[in-house]
Amino acid sequence: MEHKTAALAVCDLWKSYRVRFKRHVVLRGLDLVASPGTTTAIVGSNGEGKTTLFRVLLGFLAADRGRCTIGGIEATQYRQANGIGYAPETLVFPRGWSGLDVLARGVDLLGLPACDRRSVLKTAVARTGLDQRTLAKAARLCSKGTQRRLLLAYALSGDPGVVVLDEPFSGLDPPAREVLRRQIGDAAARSATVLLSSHDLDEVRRVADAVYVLKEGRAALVSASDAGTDVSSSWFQGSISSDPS
Amino acid sequence: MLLPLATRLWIVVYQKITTLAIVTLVIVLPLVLRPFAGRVPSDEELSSTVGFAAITYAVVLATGVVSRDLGSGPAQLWLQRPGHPVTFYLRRFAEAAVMAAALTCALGLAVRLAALAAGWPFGPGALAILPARLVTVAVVASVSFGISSWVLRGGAIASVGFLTGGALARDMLVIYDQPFGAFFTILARVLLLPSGRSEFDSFLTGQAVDFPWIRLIHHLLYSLAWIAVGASGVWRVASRTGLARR
Repeated sequence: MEHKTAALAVCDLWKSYRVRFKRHVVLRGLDLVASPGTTTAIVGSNGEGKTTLFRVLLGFLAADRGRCTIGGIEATQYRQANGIGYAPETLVFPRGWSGLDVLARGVDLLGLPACDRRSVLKTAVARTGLDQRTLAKAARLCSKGTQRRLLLAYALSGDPGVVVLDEPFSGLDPPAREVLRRQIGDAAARSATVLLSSHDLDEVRRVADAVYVLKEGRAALVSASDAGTDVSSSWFQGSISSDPS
Repeated sequence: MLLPLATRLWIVVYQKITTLAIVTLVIVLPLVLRPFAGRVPSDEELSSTVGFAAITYAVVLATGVVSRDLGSGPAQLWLQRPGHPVTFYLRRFAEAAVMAAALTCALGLAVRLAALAAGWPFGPGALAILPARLVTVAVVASVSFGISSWVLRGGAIASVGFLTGGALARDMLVIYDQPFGAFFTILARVLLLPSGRSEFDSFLTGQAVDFPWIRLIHHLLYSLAWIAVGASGVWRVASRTGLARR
């Protein structure tokens, strides 16, 4: 299979919500760059706009102003043409769908040749680390950890060129975290652009090549060295210490 | 396909199985209770039951094709894949319409078998009009899809309101000949639900020779117009407001 890798760039992004007649600005001219073959982490307190940023990036929310591009084209266009692997933090699975149904439908929607589909599904099923019995259960009735595994396997199936993971480590047990770290590493190794958000700084240190701190609607790059992330910057510490979780 | 079409179609029904079971019970119960009141259901009543089921199934299955996904988030699951949201939801609408038609046929056959077993006067002509009921399914499903793509909360109520109001207004136009002038009558005929069920029935039961082509074309164009309304609703959501609601 051919993997389309591309750099991701967010330029002067503004996004606000109207809550009870009052406009609440979440993103205020945010700039961010993520390169192919790297893992970029976004950290920040609750409500700083990490999930909003991801949703705008995928075209699931319309931005007020600014541009999100992947490989030089609008992110929405890129998604419609190539797809983006996205694992939201939480999702209510549709009623009546088993875990295996969800994965199979996800593979069908990739638009791959028929000969490739079965192997892609097989890989996705293996990535979940779940047995056939669990996969045959209704996805919405599965435990949080199982649902997380399904979402992550769904996002990574078909080896997309851009992978966006919202709090990927939340709800996973230590062995599953280890597997996920390996999968994120594999994705970056095949030149995918990986963007993730996390409150777990240990995991961020382990997997990220670059770290952005989201604060007051803007993103600041705190480290981009290959040797490891420097998470000791005062802004970063200040941002995290105000995070109750 | 890894997930067979039959499984997907079954899931369309399964997702609303409780609602479908309740509405079927409500529709069929009067027929079942009729003999206990000392009356045998007439041919007309049996046909009306199937006709009413066609409308109800179409509303239940075609409403929420878009809003259900947006409300609880599965849109984020499906639409991260390559493809345009409009194409995706048109396909979903087609699946819902097909299943509404299949359920209508199943109920028609079930009523026919029950009538045979109980000795009710449900003639073979009553089954012959099933294609006309499928046209009804197409119209009602299109209207429900069109409305619920724009009215993301309370789409079912809005659809039922439009269908009931439209049918009432249409009948009023027939009873009071051009009450608000010719222009309004033409406008209302274009906007309101198309009529002509009796003409289809007459042809299908052999009482009329000429096929009502004009009526059929009117129904099809009306359905297509509402599908276009639905598609534009999806496009608006996808490009303006965003697909993630939660």
